[in-house]
Amino acid sequence: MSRRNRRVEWFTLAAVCLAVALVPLFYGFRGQVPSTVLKICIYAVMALGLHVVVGLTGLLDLGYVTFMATGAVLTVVSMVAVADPETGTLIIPVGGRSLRGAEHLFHFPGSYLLVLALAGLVCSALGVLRGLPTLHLTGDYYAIVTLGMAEIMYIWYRTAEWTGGPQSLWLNPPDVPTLFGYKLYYDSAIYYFLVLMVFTATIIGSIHLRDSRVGRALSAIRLDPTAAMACGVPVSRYKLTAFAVSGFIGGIGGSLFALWSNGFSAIGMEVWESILLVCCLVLGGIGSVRGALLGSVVLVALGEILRQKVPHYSSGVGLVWKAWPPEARFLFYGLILVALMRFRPAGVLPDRVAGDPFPPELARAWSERATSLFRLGPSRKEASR
Amino acid sequence: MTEKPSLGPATPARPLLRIEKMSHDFGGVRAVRNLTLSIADTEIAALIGPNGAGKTTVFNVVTHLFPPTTGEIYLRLPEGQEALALRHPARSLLEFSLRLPEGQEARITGWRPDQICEAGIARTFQNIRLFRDMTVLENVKLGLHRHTRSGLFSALIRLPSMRREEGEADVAAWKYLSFVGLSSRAHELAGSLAYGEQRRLEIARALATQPRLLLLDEPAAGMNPRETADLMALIQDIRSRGVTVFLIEHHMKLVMQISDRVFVLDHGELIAQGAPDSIQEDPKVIEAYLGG
Ligand SMILES: Nc1ncnc2c1ncn2[C@@H]1O[C@H](COP(=O)(O)OP(=O)(O)OP(=O)(O)O)[C@@H](O)[C@H]1O
Ligand SMILES: [Mg+2]
Repeated sequence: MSRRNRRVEWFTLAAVCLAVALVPLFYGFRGQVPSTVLKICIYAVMALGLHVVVGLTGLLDLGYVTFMATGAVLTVVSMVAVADPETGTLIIPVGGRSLRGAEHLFHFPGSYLLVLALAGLVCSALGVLRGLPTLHLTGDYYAIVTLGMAEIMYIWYRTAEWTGGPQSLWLNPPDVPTLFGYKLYYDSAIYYFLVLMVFTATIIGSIHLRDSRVGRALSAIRLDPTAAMACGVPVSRYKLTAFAVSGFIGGIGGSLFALWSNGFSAIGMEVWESILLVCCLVLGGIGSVRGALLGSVVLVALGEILRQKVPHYSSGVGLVWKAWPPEARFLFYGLILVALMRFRPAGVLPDRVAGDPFPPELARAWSERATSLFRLGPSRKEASR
Repeated sequence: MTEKPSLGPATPARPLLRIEKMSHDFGGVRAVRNLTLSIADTEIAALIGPNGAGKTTVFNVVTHLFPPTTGEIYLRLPEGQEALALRHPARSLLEFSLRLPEGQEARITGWRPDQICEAGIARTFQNIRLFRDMTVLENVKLGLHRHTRSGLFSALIRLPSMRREEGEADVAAWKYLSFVGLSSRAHELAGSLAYGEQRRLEIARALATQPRLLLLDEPAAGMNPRETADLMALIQDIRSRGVTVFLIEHHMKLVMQISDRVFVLDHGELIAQGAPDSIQEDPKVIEAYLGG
């Protein structure tokens, strides 16, 4: 049985971030490899956001795509929004048409960082709003409600006018936001390092959260809400905190994803994306940060590989090169999960099974320090009464 | 109390916990019926009765895992404690800090379980409820939850103040573990402990909330005679440090040896209360136990 060793864990995660940082040295910023690496990083960010609710708090959220979609649509809409040159009113040019001479409304220095933060905050609020009526639900009931709510949001985004509806909202070159004077094109260096920074920050934050008082309270809610309450943990408030954090990260991930895909299309934000993110967690081991990363790497990379053309046998013609239909990847995800449940039900990299080792000199130091801090029962004043 | 003076000694003058005409129904089953009892400061009180008498339900209602169907629960607040900021009993998410008059009784009916815990009532469970996948030390640190402060932002960026607090919580938790004799197991998983050790860990976790009233639900269940003797000493030690203990127990020797007062529940009704000796001779009690 493996123990969680903090030093090894930090080393592994630092190595992962470093590897991502070094990819452009070999492959540049343009092309299949860096693009896939970026997608993996963005999905890993979102998987870690989902991990706060699913892994720590123990509630199965099947509607996480809502945050991704909301973050993405807010980003794209605010970036393409222009003022009508004649009337000065706000216009969202749907369907790729551009207005001659129109001024972008939300393009000013640093505006993308603002939009990114806003996407996070709006999704955070959305998470809390979605959480309020479901505070007393657990297990399947919670999962079904999140699924239903995601479907409602999906239908809204697919039919509303301001999101482009069933069409895509593209980011044309003039719409692409600028950061520190550089355009954040999906294949630009600045975008690459922005994603890398968010990715690194999310990993560090996830580990810090897990090893903190707040993370402990969330884990307690997962393991036994009744006992958590009896220990003085305000369960509802902590659940809402988890929803807020999870939503925030989802919104950030969605915003970065919008830049990666150079636009927003409601059609791409179906329930499958939620399921894919849950699968990332399950594959790596629910509750484990390293697991969430591993899951994202495997499943996203597999999805990209399956997009490649492979030889197919076609009767009469013989072998032809063509890609699998996009749905085929879910066939493979399913197979992987079935194999996983059979051979490694706790995931590939489950969280620790025991605590850090306990050196005896620490015990001695603690017992000396403890006397000044230790208080059993009521205050001394009261006890001596 | 005043209605049934024949049942035992007079109500303590200034009880710590007072349950007034409390009833609890599960659907059609009336698990506790019109229960009135008071627990005095720093006594060891025991609640006994045949299986299914409603003892655990009394604890669950006092800690508000479910609210009473009818009746009230009062807790006397600590005297001379500086600015104890209790939360508003409203079940809303907004919590107003409210300073209640010191040394007076607060009506705690309708408070949330975590508020009850903050008010000074801690408990253990009959079917042990540890966080089995956490370490022994972390379990106790959860008991310290209300006595530590660091929030989300200091956690995310790991502020020095948060690290210091974690370090202090480690030490404090470790000390509670030494008190129940588990400090050498601090970094094992709670679920891997032996049964008797798990019961003691639950006590340590409850003590870490720094309660004034400790509710123990069958603490000796499943313990061998030696462990039971240790447990009796532990309970007396806890009381000697100013914590009032209210325990449910089937182990009669333990009950009769350490408790100051015994309450007997049968079919949800309080049928007797008093000193251990008088209870043993009470015909109603004998009938309840023998008549099943
Ligand atoms: N959650 C519940 N839902 C429905 N009925 C319950 C529930 N908990 C307890 N009861 C019923 O209430 C009655 C009292 O149960 P309780 O657990 O309080 O008894 P007890 O005195 O603690 O018994 P034991 O000595 O076996 O622990 C029983 O008839 C039981 O079946
Ligand atoms: Mg019971």
